[in-house]
Amino acid sequence: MFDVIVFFLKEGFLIFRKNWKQSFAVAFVIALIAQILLGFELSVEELKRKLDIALSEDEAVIWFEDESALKGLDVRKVFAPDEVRKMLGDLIGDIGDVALPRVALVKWREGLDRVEGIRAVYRDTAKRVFFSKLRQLFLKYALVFRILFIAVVMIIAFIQIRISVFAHATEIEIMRLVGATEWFIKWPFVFYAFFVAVTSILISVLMWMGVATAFDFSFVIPVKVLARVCVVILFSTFVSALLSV
Amino acid sequence: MSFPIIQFYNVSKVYTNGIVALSNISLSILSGEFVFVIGPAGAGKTTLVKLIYAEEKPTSGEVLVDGRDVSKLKKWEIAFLRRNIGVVFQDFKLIRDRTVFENVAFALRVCGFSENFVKKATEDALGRVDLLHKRGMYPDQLSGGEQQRVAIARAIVNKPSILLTDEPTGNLDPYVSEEILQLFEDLNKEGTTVVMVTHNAGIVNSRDYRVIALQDGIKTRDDGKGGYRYV
Ligand SMILES: Nc1ncnc2c1ncn2[C@@H]1O[C@H](COP(=O)(O)OP(=O)(O)O)[C@@H](O)[C@H]1O
Ligand SMILES: [Mg+2]
Repeated sequence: MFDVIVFFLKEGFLIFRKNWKQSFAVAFVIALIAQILLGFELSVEELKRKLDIALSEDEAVIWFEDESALKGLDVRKVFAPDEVRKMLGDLIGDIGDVALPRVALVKWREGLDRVEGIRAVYRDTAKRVFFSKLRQLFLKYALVFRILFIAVVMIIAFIQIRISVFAHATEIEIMRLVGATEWFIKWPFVFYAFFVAVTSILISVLMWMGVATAFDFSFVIPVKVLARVCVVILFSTFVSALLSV
Repeated sequence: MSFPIIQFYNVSKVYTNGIVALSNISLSILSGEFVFVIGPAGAGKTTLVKLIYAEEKPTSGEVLVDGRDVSKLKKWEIAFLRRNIGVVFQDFKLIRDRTVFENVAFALRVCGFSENFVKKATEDALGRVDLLHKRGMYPDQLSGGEQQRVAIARAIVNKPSILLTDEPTGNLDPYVSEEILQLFEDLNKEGTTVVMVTHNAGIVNSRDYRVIALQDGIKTRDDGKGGYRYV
């Protein structure tokens, strides 16, 4: 079993090496597409975060004066001053140096607006419905976009693997001749696809690091989003390898 | 004990373009036999060989190998059947960017054998064809006869009970052809059934083996004792 996996790895690597310029080019193109996907995923996260605030039916956003106002309330989240400034800034532009109220997300209950120390309660039903619809719509489009990205990566990988299958016609003919099963013929190309995927992830990481450096490292991409993009690349190339041999 | 290892029952092969490559062929080859298949170009010799290793399926009739109807085999069963059949071609079919050793070992690795076994069996096979000393060379660095010996090593590395050879000496000079033929005879003496398709009258006449002659897809002759003569 171990020998067999080593064999597949070696063969996959040979396929990569035999046509390394093209393999790199394809990995590079996939990495570029990954950047678009990454940018998209980042804005998805950002928007989700914004829209999440006015979401749940039994929650309300309150503006309060000091911590004592929160006593006895079911607090879901207290926003840090920076967060509030950023949120407001995102919504209405730069707000300068004005003193900001404290903001928290709490569980709704009757009479919340009469609690001492709470200046305002935002629980606008119409707004909430609007936001949650917007969110649903947005996530639906996000899904379509993701599928589109996966499809594009898959098509590129598929074409490249088909090309290498043709370039290895002799090897495949010999494999069939000496009694290799179809699965055995497939796996070297699956590993080849894996190498292409890993290469494009490495190129992507270099690009991300470039971006991070350009922004003086103040711009940090969440690991979750990175992982998602990597999984998309690995998954799409894997599936197209299975389909293309 | 000999038994029929290859059997054709009223086999016809019509290609999709309508060409009748074989018509109504019946024959039986015993295990351990050495058989020449002769006939002019286009007679259907290659088709006959392809039917045996299940590269083509008969349009009608039955082809049995080792008692099993090859047209009823599933894909993976065909793969396993082929591990018991070595095939050698006129054009060697070697992988140019792999060494002699790698070319032969490839046949075992793709069948999932362990690396220990691959190494030992490959060295054995290369020893058989007397090419161990050139194991690190590439096909382009070898003579035609040597390349064919590599192909033979690859065909026998799995110790098949049938060896099919389709004009294996077609590209080789008479002296080298004789060497290759002797190699087949050695394998045959150890029990391998050898089917040799050839154009080479000299080779056929130099031996006394069974001769099956084809012409336009029809079996025109099947003599227990040899000689290359067209009817
Ligand atoms: N794959 C194929 N498709 C269509 N016709 C074929 C194919 N292979 C062989 N033929 C035809 O079948 C006939 C027999 O071919 P073949 O078995 O290769 O003969 P031989 O090996 O004796 O020269 C020829 O007329 C050839 O053109
Ligand atoms: Mg032929």
